[in-house]
Amino acid sequence: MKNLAICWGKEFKFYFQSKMIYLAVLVYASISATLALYGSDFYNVTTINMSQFFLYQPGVLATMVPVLTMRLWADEYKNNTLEVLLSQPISIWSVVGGKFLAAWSVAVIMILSSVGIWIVVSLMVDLDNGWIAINYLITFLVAGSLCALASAVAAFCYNTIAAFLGAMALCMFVVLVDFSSWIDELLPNNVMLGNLAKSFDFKWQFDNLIAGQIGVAGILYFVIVIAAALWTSLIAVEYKRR
Amino acid sequence: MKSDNGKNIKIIVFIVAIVVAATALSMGISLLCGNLKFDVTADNRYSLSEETMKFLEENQKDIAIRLYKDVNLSKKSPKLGKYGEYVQRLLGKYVDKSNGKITLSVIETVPFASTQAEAEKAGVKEFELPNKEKYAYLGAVFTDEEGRSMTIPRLGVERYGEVEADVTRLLSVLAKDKKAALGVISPFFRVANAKNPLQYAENYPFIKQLQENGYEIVLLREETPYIPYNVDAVLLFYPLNLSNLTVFALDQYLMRGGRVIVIMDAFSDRRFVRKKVYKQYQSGLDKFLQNNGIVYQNNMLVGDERNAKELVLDGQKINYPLKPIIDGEKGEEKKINNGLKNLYLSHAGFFEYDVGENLKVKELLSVENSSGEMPAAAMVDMDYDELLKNYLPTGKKYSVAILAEGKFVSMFDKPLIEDAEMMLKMPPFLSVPLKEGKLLLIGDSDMFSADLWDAKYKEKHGAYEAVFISDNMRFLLKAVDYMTESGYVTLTAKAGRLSLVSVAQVLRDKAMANYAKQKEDSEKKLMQIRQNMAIIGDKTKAKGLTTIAQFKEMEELQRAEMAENRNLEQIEYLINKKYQSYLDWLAWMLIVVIPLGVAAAIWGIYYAYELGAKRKAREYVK
Repeated sequence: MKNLAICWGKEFKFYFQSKMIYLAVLVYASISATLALYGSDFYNVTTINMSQFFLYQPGVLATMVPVLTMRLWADEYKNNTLEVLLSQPISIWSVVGGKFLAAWSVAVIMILSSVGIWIVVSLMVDLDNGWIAINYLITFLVAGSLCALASAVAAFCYNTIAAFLGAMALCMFVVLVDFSSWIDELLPNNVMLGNLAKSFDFKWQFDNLIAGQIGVAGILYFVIVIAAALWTSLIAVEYKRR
Repeated sequence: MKSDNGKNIKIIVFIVAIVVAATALSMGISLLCGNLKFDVTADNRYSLSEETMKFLEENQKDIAIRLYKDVNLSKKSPKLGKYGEYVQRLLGKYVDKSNGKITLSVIETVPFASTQAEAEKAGVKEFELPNKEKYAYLGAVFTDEEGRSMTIPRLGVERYGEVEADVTRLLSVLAKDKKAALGVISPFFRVANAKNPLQYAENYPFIKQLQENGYEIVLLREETPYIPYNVDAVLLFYPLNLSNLTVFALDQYLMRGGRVIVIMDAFSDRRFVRKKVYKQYQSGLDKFLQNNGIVYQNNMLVGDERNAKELVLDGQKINYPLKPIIDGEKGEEKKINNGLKNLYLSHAGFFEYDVGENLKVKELLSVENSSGEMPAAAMVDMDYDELLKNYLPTGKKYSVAILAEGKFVSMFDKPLIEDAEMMLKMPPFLSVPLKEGKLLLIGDSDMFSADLWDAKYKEKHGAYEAVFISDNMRFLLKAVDYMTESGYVTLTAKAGRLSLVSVAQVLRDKAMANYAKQKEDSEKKLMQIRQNMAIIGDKTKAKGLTTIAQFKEMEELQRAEMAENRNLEQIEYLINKKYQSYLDWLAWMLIVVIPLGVAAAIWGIYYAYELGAKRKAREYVK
């Protein structure tokens, strides 16, 4: 656990040193606000849970998260520092986990930079603040899943650009592909298959969670995605080392 | 090379195995705990009430719900689209908790397609959208295993707080094998007019509403010797000079343990508007009521200054105490009026009682503390200033609605009818009560008239019930539920928090507030000019010719009117400009200023941290 914290601290600090976090916060907060205000009829239809803001979060995060994860492993491979790192008394799990947690922490800070929208809107209209706070937590969870997926792609890449493009392609695929609609189109009367398709549909799970009902299955879905992606990262790093 | 290929295949297999395992796991979890959900909304919009849960647990009937939802609902109306999603989720909750007894199918209606025709056939009606886009459907059809159907034609956003009550009620009506029957006696609904017995129902929409809510309405003659056996309760609406025969029928019905709702009125606004003459109200029931220790004050009207309705008379706002807006009495045992708010009364009479030990009286609606009274005879003309001179504040408690339960005392010691053939049809005569009866007395009939119900709302906005501005209908519905012992589930509305105020509206109001004074002055001036023009016009008409002075004056007024109109247009332009500047300010704030501020703040925090670390390092070196 201590090693995990050390790895996390090292990686987390690097985001500040490289000034990447400032750019990420600036771009993320601006894109989120622009999409919330102009992506749907925000001014005329104000909902008490700021759904217009959360609606675009998976898409925005799918674009921004690869920026945070692209250099997680590429620099280590390029400079051959991974072997040096692993020669220390720390496990490979700590390194994988620390890097992922650092990216996730930065993603959380990035998401928190949009709290200004919440404050400004709540000064004007009556909002359900508890619900919005829960939606923020769910967005953190989604960001965690995307960080884990992007980190897994990065673990296979020697090059930062390749890591960025590969991670973005995977994140976009996961967020935008609507499995349940496909099944509905192909097999309209198959309720069972339709429900099963929904159970691994990223966007459907997110929409369901932010609608005001926290489902245990929805939360576990994102936890499983994180666990599976981290396991894949681990395999990828082992593979690269051999 | 071969070993590299082997490595690649191995890793691909590994990754595929992980993806398959994760998918299988998420599917399994979804199947096992898909229904385990927690409502996190402040107004508990996804939580079903205790009454609904109890109904769902006890229900043994298979009921299918079909939700008809326009395929492009969100595009046509984002607000309605969001509401449609909410209703769908809420109905899903019913399905989850019904032990498989309730099913839900969502049918997306496509314009001019069979689904749209199917929706229309089932009674679902289209929404009239602000952008004049037709064919936006959002309605629900409930069908039981015998094919009986009930429909909510339009699921309107305005009824957000009521939707659970509407759905549960329809389900509970369908779950019953037989509809509860309510006998109605009233001069407004005449059985004699066989072609259209409900010809006055427009003025009193509660009859149609009760029918829509699952009741079978049995219209009884005003002159009736007995209350039929198939009736579960009797509603006596505005009884006027009831004959002794009908009083005998009601008396005997109560002796048999019958349940009667009587809605009387010391001053009926509707009747006054029609007849234009005040006449003291006589129900014909006074003797029977007095016999049981109850008196209806039909010559006094009750008022409440603190809860008075605001009326606008000649451009001035006045608080009119004789039209109070009150809440239902609180208390666990008073199921009829618990949680009811905003009950509108209009020139109501009140009850006084001193009943024997065989009867128990519960107060359902009352006015106290800031209360007062006024003789009904003062309502000669409708000049409110004059009227209020007769109003006397008393601070007493006045009971506007009471429920008497127990054994009533009969007014009759022998049957009123001696016709042997008729007596065979009738229930046996009782001079002493056989069972405990129930008598619910309400002292205001206008509270159920279309004026207070905004009945047109239903047609205009597509609400399922006519009630919107008050809880008056719900009060009657709960009263009828209680008296018929129908078992239909009636819920009170949720404390709706569906925000109907938008950011645009707030900013527009703010922009308007800057020019409110100028606009008001300009509008006043314009009104004055138009009044002057009308006066000159009247003078010209009366004389048949226009003098040169009048012509000139008129010309000047017309010029002034044009100038004032221009002024108003300019104010509107300035308001719009201000509003636009607020929108721009908000966009700049959210898109540029706040992100820059947050980035700068993070940089500041990190910089402070770095400085601290450097200082520590320097101290360490020293």
